[in-house]
Amino acid sequence: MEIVVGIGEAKISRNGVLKTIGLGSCLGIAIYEMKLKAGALAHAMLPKSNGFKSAKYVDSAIEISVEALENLGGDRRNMVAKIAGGAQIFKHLTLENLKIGDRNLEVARESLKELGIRIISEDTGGNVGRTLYFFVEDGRVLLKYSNGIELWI
Amino acid sequence: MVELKSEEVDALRELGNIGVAHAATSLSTMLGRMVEMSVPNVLIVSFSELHEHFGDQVVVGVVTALEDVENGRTGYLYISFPEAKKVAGLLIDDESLLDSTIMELGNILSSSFCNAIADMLGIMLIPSPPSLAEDASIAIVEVIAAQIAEKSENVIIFETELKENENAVRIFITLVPDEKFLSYILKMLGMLG
Repeated sequence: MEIVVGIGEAKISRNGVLKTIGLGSCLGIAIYEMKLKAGALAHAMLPKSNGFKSAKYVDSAIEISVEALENLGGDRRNMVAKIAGGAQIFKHLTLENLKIGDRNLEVARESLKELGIRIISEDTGGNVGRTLYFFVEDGRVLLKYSNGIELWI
Repeated sequence: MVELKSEEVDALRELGNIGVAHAATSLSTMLGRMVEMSVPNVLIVSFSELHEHFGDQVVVGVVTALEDVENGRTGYLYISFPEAKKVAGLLIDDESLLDSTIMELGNILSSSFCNAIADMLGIMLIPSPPSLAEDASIAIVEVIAAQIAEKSENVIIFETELKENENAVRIFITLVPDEKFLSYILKMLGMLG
């Protein structure tokens, strides 16, 4: 079973694969509950929410994911995280917010630390988009780069 | 997906058709032979549904920022060519010129489109120089969308067809407007339609 997580969404599952396509500057945050053998995956666009709770924001996406896993019977002490994304796709475009990928990453590290959830592996930065597959039964994460390279984290 | 009334879809398609018709004229002049373009379909899609319309394959495209300085509305135009080789083949014979052909076509399309929107809405839109973008379409749109995502949720996709004789190729013109821009477009189209 494959569940697709859209941009600005967070979803949980106890079996199969959670998948998110085309992570550019966005951050894919996979949280795995080791005892429950369940996972949550978020595809967040922006760093901080300023109080408005939506998975569009990294800090909220992490909260929503952790709460959903807790509601399923999980315990945050058994949770670990893997993160991927935060690429800089455009080299020359004069956008105001080119460093958004870096800021997403910073906020993810802070938020996870506050909740006591360890990042056990990550693959971030670069200038290529990524598609992320999260195998929620055992916590493995496969990344497929737009240029064809595959990587397990 | 934002549900549009059929008059609104018609008005949006009309907007798209005017934009690409201008581009087809410039292109025909440049090539010295007739090229036709049309917009058979228009969709308004939320960020979270983009994956239903764009796959994860790498696509060549061009991105331009649009700015309505007077009213503080902004947006981005992303023109993508899922059949880039076919497009280039249709326009030129030399495949080694693929990137520059796409860039030039992107240039023509984005400026024609920008003008059409500005004319139809009665505003002044200033386009930035276009940048070549080559990655999964979602990755491109999300980078653009992240610039204005605090104030937006949706994109408009104009499914475009470029035709020369019997050969047709698909081109996607995606407008990523901020919330103010999108509601202005829909308001104006409602008045026009």
